[in-house]
Amino acid sequence: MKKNKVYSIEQQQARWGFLFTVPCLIFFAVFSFYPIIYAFQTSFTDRQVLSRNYDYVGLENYVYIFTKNNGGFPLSNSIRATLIFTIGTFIPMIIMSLIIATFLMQLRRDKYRGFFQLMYYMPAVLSSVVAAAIWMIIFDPRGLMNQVSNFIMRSSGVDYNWLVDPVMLQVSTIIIYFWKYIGYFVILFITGLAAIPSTIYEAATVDGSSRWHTFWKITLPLLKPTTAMVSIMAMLQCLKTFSTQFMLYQGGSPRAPIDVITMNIYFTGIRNGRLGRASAMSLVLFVIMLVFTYLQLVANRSSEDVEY
Amino acid sequence: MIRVKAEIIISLLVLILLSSCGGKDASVSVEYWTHEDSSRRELETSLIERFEEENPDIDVVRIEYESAELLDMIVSAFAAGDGPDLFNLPSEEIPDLLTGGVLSEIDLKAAGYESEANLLDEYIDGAFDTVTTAEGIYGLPLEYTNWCLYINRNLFREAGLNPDNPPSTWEEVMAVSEILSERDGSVLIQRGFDFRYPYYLSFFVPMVMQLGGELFSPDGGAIYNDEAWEKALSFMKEWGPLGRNLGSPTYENARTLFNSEGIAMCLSGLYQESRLESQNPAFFSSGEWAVAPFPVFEDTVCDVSASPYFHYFMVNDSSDSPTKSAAWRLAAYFADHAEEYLSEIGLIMPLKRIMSSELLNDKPFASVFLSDLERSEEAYDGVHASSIQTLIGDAVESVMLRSVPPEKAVQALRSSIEMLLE
Repeated sequence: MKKNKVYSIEQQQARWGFLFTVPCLIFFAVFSFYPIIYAFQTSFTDRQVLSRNYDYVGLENYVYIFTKNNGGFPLSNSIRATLIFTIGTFIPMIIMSLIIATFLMQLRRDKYRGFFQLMYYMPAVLSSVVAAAIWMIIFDPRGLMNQVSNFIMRSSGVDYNWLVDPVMLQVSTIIIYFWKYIGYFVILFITGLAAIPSTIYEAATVDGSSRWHTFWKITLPLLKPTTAMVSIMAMLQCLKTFSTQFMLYQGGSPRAPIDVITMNIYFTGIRNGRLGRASAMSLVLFVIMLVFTYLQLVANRSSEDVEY
Repeated sequence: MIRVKAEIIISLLVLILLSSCGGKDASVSVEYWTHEDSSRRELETSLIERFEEENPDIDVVRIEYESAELLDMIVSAFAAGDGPDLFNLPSEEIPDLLTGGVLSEIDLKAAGYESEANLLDEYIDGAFDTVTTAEGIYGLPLEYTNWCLYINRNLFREAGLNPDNPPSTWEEVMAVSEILSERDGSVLIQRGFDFRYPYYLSFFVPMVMQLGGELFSPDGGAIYNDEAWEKALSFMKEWGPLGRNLGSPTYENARTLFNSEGIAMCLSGLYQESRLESQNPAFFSSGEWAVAPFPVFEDTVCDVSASPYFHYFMVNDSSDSPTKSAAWRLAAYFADHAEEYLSEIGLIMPLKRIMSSELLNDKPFASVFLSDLERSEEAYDGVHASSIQTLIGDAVESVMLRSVPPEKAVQALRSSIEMLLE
């Protein structure tokens, strides 16, 4: 007589758990893993965007993107533009979003907190096209930014060339991105802050700890896992930036100062039709993202897990 | 219980999938992608309705994209093995699609022509050059456009200028713009004139040609006559925000501002008149605007006007045969209504009957456009034309916005074009 196999409750739950992760795994395999493999394969070919036929060319595309100027827009300039943008954006964004989240958590009434959360998050739901259009009006020589700059600098009628001057243009992209995404990271920090038990703060208050001391000695250490996650997410998002720079370029700004890697991939692959070279560039970006993520994980690694 | 629920959910999913696969419509559906143009939308929507009434077996889906993104959308779609059945693009954006083998040869029968000679006979000479290969013809012209200088006579008069004596040279355009411009310190509040920046093959290359330069030398090398290119780039540098600050690619485009009387001069085609009439009828009927020929440099060695360009209807070669035929039939239907395109939205289809029609000649300032056409050379529409236009734009913008010396910009442009053509 065949005996039915008996599964423990944990095993049964694990089976169901695996079943629920299957759609996600399939989704990842089809939309993330397969394109990565395909891009890797294409990077060794001379594939053109409209042609189905191609030949394998070995490392030719990699040699090209690292040694040639790619029609005036070398990869080295794109790496420079991407790194300047990423460093200029994600570090201030992490610091500011943490500060704003901390202040919002100090608000006594939930409805005020909800209101400010909504206000900060609103730009994140705007499309990049709309965001860029709004900011192009603000950065216009007759726009708000010149007026504010003239007020701060105590000057009159000076055009700071926000969309023209290479340095100002990079600053403009950083401001747009910062404005658009800071709300998203504020929400993540608020979630992290809300998870810290209030009893710890009560104990600190009883022990006579000042707010400043409490922030540095309790909040920040206990927030380390959230900070690590937010900083990695923000950095990866900044490295993948595209639409802000593309919209400003479409609006007439010079390409070179803001020619981030993704934009170079787009122009090389779609406009110039060189899919092989564009794939090689995308693999370089992938490696850069991988290395930076690893470095961040190492930097954030703690000898002890945070436990409440 | 869980099993029962799972079975119900799976059954429902299967039913949904099956229902989406079934019920195939017998009619042919033509997906038509085109660029944004509110006047043309109105006309073509009405034409499509009439076309569908006359051809009940054909459904047409018209989808609009911004002009700047239409090519990218089409290329991306074709690269993914998809794409619209019917679409239109300007001349410079067609060569790469033609060499990529994604275009369908014209279906003469579906388009209502007995022979190729019969088709060519209806259009002006050269109308099919861009879309013709040794194998055949791959497009049907939608429009033929050249640009002249539109002038707001009111703004001229207010600035103390004589509107009956519009600028005829680029040096005069610069001098007049200086007078017409308004500034608050170094902030440019109002411009007198500005160029049509992304379309460098149409206005900037002719400016270089006026100075004796060419895009390609007789032996095929990129950038002929460095001196002419440097001179034209120096003019643009002087024009830009780091020079005399008269205009910039980052400002709102001049032809849109012209309709709201926000700029005194702009470059545009005959179609601008219809847009002006619909957007600012009072100004249109006031007679306070005029059109002058495309300016030349004072020391011009070659009297050429802005380069005219065509737009073509094209059909996706990977669409099935009945769809291709239906798409060509629709394109030809549009061409059959060329008079409506001209009278309602000011678009000139390069048909012989249109070019010699009273309808065209009676349009205000049509004679200026037609005489400028006679002294024009068509915009470059060879291999990688669109990318070359982008590279020329990068060169112009590098001198205007980043103070790159014109000599360096010319060298960089040459090497970029040569690298592109490798």
